[in-house]
Amino acid sequence: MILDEKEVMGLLQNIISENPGKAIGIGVSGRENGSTRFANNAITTNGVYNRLDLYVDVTKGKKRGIAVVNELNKEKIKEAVARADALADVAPENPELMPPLGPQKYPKVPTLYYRSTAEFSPEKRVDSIVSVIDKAKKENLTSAGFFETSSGFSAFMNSKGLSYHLLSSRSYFNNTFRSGEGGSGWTSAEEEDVDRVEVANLADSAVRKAIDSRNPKPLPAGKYTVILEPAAVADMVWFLLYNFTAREADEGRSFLSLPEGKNRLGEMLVSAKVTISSDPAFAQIPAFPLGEDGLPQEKTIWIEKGVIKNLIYTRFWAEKMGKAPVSFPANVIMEGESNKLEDLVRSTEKGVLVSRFWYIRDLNPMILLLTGLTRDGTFLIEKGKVSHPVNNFRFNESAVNVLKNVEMMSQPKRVVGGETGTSAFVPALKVKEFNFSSVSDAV
Amino acid sequence: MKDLAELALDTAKSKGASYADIRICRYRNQYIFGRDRRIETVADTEDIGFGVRAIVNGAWGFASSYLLEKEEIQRIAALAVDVARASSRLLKQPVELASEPAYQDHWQSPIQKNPFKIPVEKKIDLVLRINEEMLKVNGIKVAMSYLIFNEMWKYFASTDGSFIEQDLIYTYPQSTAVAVAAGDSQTRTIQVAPEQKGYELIESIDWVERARKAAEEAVQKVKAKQAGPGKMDIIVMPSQLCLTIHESIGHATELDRALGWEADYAGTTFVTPDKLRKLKYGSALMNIVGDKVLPNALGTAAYDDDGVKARTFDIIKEGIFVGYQTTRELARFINEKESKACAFADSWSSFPMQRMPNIWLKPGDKPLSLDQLISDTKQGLLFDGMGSFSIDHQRYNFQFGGDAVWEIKNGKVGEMVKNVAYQSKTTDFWGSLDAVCSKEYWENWGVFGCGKGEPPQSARMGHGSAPARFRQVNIVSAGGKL
Repeated sequence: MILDEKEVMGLLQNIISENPGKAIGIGVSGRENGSTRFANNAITTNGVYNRLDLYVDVTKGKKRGIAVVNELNKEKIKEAVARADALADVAPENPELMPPLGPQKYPKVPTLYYRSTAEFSPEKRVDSIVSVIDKAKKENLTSAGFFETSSGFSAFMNSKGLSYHLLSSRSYFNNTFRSGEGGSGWTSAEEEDVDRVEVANLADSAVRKAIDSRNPKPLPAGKYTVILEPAAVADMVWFLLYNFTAREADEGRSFLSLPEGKNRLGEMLVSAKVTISSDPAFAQIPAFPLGEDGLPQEKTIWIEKGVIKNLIYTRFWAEKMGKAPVSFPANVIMEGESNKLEDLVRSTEKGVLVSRFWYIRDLNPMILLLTGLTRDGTFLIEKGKVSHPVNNFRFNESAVNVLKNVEMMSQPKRVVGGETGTSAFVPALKVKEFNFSSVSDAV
Repeated sequence: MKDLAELALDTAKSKGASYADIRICRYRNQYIFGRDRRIETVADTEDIGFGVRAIVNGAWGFASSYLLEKEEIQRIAALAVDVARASSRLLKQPVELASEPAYQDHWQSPIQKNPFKIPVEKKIDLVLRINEEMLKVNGIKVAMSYLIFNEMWKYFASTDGSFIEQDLIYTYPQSTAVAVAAGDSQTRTIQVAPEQKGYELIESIDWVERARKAAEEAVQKVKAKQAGPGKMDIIVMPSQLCLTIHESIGHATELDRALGWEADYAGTTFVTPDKLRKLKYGSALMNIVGDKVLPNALGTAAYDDDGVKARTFDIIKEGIFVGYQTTRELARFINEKESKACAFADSWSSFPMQRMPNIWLKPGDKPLSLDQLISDTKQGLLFDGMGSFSIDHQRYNFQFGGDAVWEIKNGKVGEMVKNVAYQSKTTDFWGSLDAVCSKEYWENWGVFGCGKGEPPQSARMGHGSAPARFRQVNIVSAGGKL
């Protein structure tokens, strides 16, 4: 149930007015989701999901209590405020608690709400899935996937005058095709406007991978030049940025740490080819222009030509270190080169083409060593051509090394990381000396 | 509540559903998080709503809402029927549910002290005391502790005639010390398993002593030498084996994965239906049980979210794979007449799916203490607690780290080592199992947040075991420099 903006903001204003003298913050969010799953060329589940949450925080100096409920009747709202108030009373002083923000001015960003997505019906989802399953049947493949469309709002107001109301819609489509001969292909897309989800192209491309990856031949583990398709790069870059916090670096707890409480800000850490930024206003992958506690968020360059330009500084840590706060990335934008994926392949004497990764986890944060696996299409490249499909691999490799060892890049595009399930605007990368530590029999 | 449930069921039936059920749920959570000498978060959350499933023309439909009002219940029940009708266009095989008697019952976690009735001040004080004790140890840079208390209240009713009320309570404490020295940082967590218990779980632990020990071990760990690579015997403590059981057995023996239903996201499994009662999964010492009735375990309930009475069943017997986890919908695909009670939904707004019950390794038959097992091991590593974890989408190749790892030399526990993990193939690993300690050493561990499905759902389940030894496992080093 998407409440009208006027209605929501009126509700929030009323709650604040009914609690004079209180430092109070109120948030209401609501979302309508519809999703359909399919497997073995048939629908398995189909559902409609509605959610609504009311968030209340009460701040008393350096003390704060939080209560969340999911009913909007007067009694429940009163109960939630009383609960947050009582928790603030018993909470000890938190010297790091920053005061609530007052009114903020947010940069303009492209719309994140499309009626086409909000009004996309279960029947339309089923129509799309029928077309996907038809392709699978035609090629004697088995398809499975997920199509979700949702829309919602998020509104917040506090007693110091901070307020915002955000509308968004999201469409998320995944499909996997598997063949009886050990082939598998996957594609995924996330768009604000469901009309931009190119179901037919996504299905065709996953079908092609499933066919091309049949009958994989064994290839031993070892260090290889790899070409990581954008979906694999998206995961690597997100894992890098998850670990980009200044405080962990300053406390000696991350790969960005240097002796004596210093960090690598300003250091050239990766290849000069690498430039990574976030920008809520970036048309191809827009985001809400809000950061920590409702701070405005504009373009942030994280790495420029290999040099670390920004780290994530919370409001508290920024104040302590005499810096401006920098919020968690709103999105990921990595610059590429003018090449096509085929150009990267053509330039490779011997290497491995990786379609996507799966089950990535940290192994050692001090070097950002990650482990994970390839999935849904891994191929040997020989003499500038994709030679044949090979087994999947486990990798144990540092995300920093990956970006240090970049030799060539394609043009970037918006993709979804297979592991993170999050969009990023990234290129394919050709990376030398990538460490596949063992072979996986999974197909 | 029964009136509301009947309204949903009657509406669904009148609109053409051949089967329908409703779950009306209320979830309460309390979360207290402290870092160092301050409390960062004190939060109470509550979440109420209902979800209706309906079968029409052999296809499922689902709809849910947070508005627990008569008109909304009728609207949502009708919507579930409409969605089912839309799905039936692409029907391959009509849904057929294994039969199950109707129950009218009420069940509650057998807790001693309701954690929601314990004053918040007392919990805050405990978090701060734990952190303070950790920070007293020289070399500790950060101390982090949290307490999570959950209540899941569920009212299930179906057109088969069941009306089941369940009230489940969980307690999950965790405290971690972070040591920093000489360009490295390492963590050590107090090893206390989350369980379906009340505040008595918190009161059963000497937190101050455990905090000091964990902090001292974090400092030992940061100064420890690197280990690996190579092949070594390993002794795995229940706190660590928990996750290996979960990933390499629990997920691998889910029938929905075996049938390809999770192929798009979580993946499938190497344990395909043709391997039932044939696959040699591991050594003869390997006896794995699926169990939804184990006292205090995270996956325990009286009924699952299909309304099936909880039960125990064998998954692996003397090393041979003998049973899948199933639901009412899945049972028939392996010609079974009854469900194994493995349906679970993580919210009123989630569609119930096949999730693990508690899955645990039986202790060894012969008396064997941990000390005896260590004495009997010439050279190897001892893994305690969960570290890094990763497994492929068919559950062959896995790699697990530990929270703390020690060398074993000539039958004795030696120095702590760091940045190591064991990497193996599921059947090779379990085939190398050559000793399991006896029942006095069995411990009830569990996973509190296991993701599966699209949209993703989080579930919790117990994985107990006694310490066990595996021979000549591949050890990988996670050390190095940038």
